[in-house]
Amino acid sequence: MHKLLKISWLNVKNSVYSKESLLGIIALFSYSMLWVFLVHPAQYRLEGYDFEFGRFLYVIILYAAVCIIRNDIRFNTIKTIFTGVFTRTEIMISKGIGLIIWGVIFSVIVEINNILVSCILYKKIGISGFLAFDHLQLFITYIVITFCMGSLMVFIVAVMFSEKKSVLFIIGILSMVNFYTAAIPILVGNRPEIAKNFSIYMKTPFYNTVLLMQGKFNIKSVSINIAWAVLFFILSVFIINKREIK
Amino acid sequence: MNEVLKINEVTKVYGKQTVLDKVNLSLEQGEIMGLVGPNGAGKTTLMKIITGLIKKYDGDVYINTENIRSKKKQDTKQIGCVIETPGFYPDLTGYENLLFFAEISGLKDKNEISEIVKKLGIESYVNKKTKKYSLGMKQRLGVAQAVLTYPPILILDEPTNGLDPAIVPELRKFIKYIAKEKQTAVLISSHILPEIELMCDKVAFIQEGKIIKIESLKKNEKDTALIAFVTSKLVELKNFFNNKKLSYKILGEDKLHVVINPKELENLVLSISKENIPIRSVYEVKESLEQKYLKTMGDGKNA
Repeated sequence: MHKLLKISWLNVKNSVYSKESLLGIIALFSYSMLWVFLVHPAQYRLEGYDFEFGRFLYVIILYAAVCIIRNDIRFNTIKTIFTGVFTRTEIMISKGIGLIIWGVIFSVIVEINNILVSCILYKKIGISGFLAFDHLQLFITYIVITFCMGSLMVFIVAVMFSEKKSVLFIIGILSMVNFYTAAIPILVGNRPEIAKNFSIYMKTPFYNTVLLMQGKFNIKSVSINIAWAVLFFILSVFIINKREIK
Repeated sequence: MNEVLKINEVTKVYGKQTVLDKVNLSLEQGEIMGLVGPNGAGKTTLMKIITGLIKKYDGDVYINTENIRSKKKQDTKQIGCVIETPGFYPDLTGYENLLFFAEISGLKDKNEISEIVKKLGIESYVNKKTKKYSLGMKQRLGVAQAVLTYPPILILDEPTNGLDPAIVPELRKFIKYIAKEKQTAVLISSHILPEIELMCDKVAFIQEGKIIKIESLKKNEKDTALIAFVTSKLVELKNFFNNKKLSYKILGEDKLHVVINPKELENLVLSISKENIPIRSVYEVKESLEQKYLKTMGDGKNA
């Protein structure tokens, strides 16, 4: 287990050190600062800025998850990895642990953004606003979202098993789903009677991810997302185990 | 010597195409075997089966007498490999890549990395990011990664591909070193036949998924040699070989070729001189691997 953790950490570290990762973080904070300096809606508190940051971060989460396997296909390191001492299942478990590590990193990035926003908007939010924020819920939220949506992306890459950029198109679609369905949890929250119209959608990871990102933390959404994550992950492990590495 | 790798009747079919057809091979400790054949002959597929990258196939692959299908992964990590172009994380240095793969390979003593880097002569660029590497540099780093744990079996697919000709002898020297000193069995494929000839103890010719011929390249292990005799009395020499029931081939007015066991040459020359047949010269006609390759693959086509 210790070895797997080390491999997972090294794997994440390799992605963190990449040029794409650096560009992603710069873009992420630039987007956040656009909201702080240019848009700054009057009704927005820290939660509002946190949600906007999370919407952009969602794209980065999907991309980071894709990179966890796609980079090995792209850089042809997959053959070396799959001929090492670890079984394919163990390698995939290390990738899963990698997703959780990414979740921790993302929650730290969100907190850095929250500190920045609180300091820049010190009159409106300030340190007291930052301290009033539920940091544990944020921490759990980003780990669960990264694990769930990351597992979905790992599953998609396992099925496609290609370095082709078409997977980036899927990231685009999922990001749009996240963006355009953000209103549904608010609608359901305001008018509970329409919940039955969305009953199936409410069981998907997409709905529950948006809900968690909006700060509506609840154990049911966390459990649904974890259940989906486990399902996607088991399927990915099964597919990878059956694959021929060409 | 111990047999470390045994490939028994391995067959691989993709759709209607048979890529490997009942391949049998064995490799002993410290032995270097070349695998030569045209593109699409099945060399890489065979290597991928041995390394576990391809799991569905008929037949069996044994590592140290145990079937790789039934072995635990930790036990089967006895193979280092470079299959096709070696891959590395471009934003890490060569050394950082080796550190990562050392974890994957289960290397405990990280000092071994520096030793291998030194032996392969890649110190000058190992601390540069691999995205700046040429194909030749990647090939050498790939070999370094493959031998990190000094595995009992080393599989190298076209390792000299893209290498500077000046570097090839160094790599050859290193491969020979690990075979001799670390008793690593090496299976190597290459299109550069003179290189295979200089490096390998044995060569397996593969065509259309079939092993056509396995030949020893070790001088002292050869059973037969093609010997040329030049004489002014060709008729007498012909009669002499007829009496000895040795087959020969006449080449011109004063020369013939005969296939004999090299150990018998001395006695044969002595017998000829006793018959008072003047011999102007006797020499071994060496066939290069390239000539053997063309001959063997030609035979394969006709078969």
